[in-house]
Amino acid sequence: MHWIIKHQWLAFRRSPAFEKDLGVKVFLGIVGLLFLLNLVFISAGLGSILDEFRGELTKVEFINQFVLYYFLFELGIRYFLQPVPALDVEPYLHLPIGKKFIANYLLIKSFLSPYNLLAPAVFVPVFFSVVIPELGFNSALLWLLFNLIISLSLHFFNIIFKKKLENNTITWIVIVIIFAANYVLGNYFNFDLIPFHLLLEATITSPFLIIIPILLSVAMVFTCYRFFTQYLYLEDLADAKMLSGEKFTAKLSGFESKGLVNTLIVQELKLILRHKRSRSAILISLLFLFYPLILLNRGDGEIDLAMFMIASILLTGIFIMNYGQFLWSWNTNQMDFFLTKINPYTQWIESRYRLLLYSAIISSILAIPYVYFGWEILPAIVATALYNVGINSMLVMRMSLWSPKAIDLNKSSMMNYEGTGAAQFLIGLPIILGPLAIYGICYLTGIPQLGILAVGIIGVIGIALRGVFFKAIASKLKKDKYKLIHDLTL
Amino acid sequence: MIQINNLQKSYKQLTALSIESLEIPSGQSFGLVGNNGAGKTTLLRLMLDLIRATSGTVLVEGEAVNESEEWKSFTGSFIDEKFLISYLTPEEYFQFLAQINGVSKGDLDKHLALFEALFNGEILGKGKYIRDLSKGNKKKLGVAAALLGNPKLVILDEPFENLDPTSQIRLKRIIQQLKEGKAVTFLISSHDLNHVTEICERIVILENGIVVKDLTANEKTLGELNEYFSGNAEVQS
Repeated sequence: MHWIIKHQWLAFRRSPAFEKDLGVKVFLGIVGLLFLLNLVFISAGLGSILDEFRGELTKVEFINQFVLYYFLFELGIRYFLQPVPALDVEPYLHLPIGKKFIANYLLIKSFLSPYNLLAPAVFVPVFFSVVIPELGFNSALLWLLFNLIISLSLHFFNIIFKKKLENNTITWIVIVIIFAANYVLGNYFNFDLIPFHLLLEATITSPFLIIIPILLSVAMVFTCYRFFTQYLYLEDLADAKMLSGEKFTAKLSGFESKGLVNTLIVQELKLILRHKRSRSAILISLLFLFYPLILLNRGDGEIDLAMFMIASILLTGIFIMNYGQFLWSWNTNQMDFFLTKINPYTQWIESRYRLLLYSAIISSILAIPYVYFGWEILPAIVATALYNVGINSMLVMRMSLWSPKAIDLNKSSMMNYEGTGAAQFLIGLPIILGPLAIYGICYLTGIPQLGILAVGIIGVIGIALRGVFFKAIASKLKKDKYKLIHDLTL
Repeated sequence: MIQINNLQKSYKQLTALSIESLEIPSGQSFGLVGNNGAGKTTLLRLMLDLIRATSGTVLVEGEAVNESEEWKSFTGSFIDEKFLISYLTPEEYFQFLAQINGVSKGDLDKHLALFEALFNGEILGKGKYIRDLSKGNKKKLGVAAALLGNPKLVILDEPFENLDPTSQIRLKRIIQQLKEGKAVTFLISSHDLNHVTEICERIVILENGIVVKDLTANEKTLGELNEYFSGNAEVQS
């Protein structure tokens, strides 16, 4: 067994990005530890908080009502954050190493995951502070075991879920609907769709029922094991759905005959939609469309225009920021092609610019429902969209040329910092602060509407001068050509 | 040694490989030739249980490769670079294989001495990781790894590809040397008709996933193969 652990360590230690990986891991470790400590303190202090809400129920009964929803939350965290245990198995498949060995290794490795500390951090402190005093040690221990075993089953369920059912977003929708229905039915109609807390309470009184979660977890472990042994074929290792699923861009190919710029736009769209990493840039942009809700929904009536400005810069510029920060890195391994085939470079730049322009138009349209918070936001959306197209997209195109780094497009973007350098950390500052500064200066004159107008006008000037910007970026491209080819090759 | 029954591999509607019956006796040197996409690598991958067969079985010493894993203990193989562990140095990789295959340190050194000329001082003792080696050197390393530990069955995909002419000849000599005296079954796919006719006793031509010719190699075989492929080229142009 020891060699496999040694190989994993060497793979990490000798990774070309070792220092960065290590830094990120240490940082995430500290964040995770703080989060767990928070959970421990909340859980330990839960007793006094519960007295206010529990009504006629005892504290434990009240907690039991929510355990099910905690597990939904835990599944969510596991699903989105916990990686499926991976081992680059291809070098081992042809060697005299059994598939059972590999499967066992993957199972044990998966078990040693920090996410398995989540449930102990939540349940153990409350076990001492609330459950033991109320139920006595023996019953409390059953209560704790029950929950920890369920959490363990979730761990293995998550692996199966992610590996086998991931294609079905529908699965998630069904799960959420069932839980929502359970909540509504339980609260308003006194009917339990999932009698989870009843089972939990029954287990405390009749200890033999603990066999149910135990059987569940054994079944999950066994399914995982079978899954790992049966899916060790090259076909399963390759991401096959990437090739078959993407049909939308194939239809766009008709536009390719309409000039070089259009060809390049279609080509880039194909690149974006056919790779994991870039697709998630779009998904995150869509999610961020809801972000201004947090900024705007303060509930105290009057919303000031500056808040609107920040919100609408984000709304109309999110794709420009999210996609644009890696604008050149997306073309990792294609630099040789672009730099030998495309002449002049300004056409290449214009195609990227048009893509950013379209994204601003689309997200502006999607942002229109925000007029719900007041009609004043409409001019703000128009002005910031113009600014984002005229100035910010140029800034992004130029700033992302600031020592861009290679990206492996086929890796998921979750917890993936590949391609991130100083430029990516700083890029947000001028994008948001620029228009805010313009707005702020005009605000001093006493007419805030003037600020919105100024932002829009400067955006229009930027659009009018786009040819100048293109040339500047093209000459930078030409100057950095050899460095780009070297840095953007994996 | 190897028995193939009704073996089929299809990707959606497309049939990549369809072999009704093929038997490779123990100790035979078996050469596989055919154009790109003829199904050579698919066949080798099926034999190594790296991909699932759509139907049919590959038996090695009477046991299906996807059921028993016994064959792994006496089979050495190299299909592509992914067989190597990119972040190890060549020395570490050989030591790892020696450990897995139960080869002693002395035997490993003896084995590597055999490859000294082929490696040409570019592979061992350079302090490089495997990922930093050139394509040709990775190929040499992979072939040397496949031949470690006296395997009874050796499966090599395009062993001569990416090698310089001198290395091709050196590799050919090593293979011939290993064949002598021992009952090693060799399975080699290649585009190089010269080499494959020199090494192999039997040559099978695959086309569109089907066995179209099964020849016993003799001095006329090379001419026959050349004739076949140039005939093919005529039809297609």
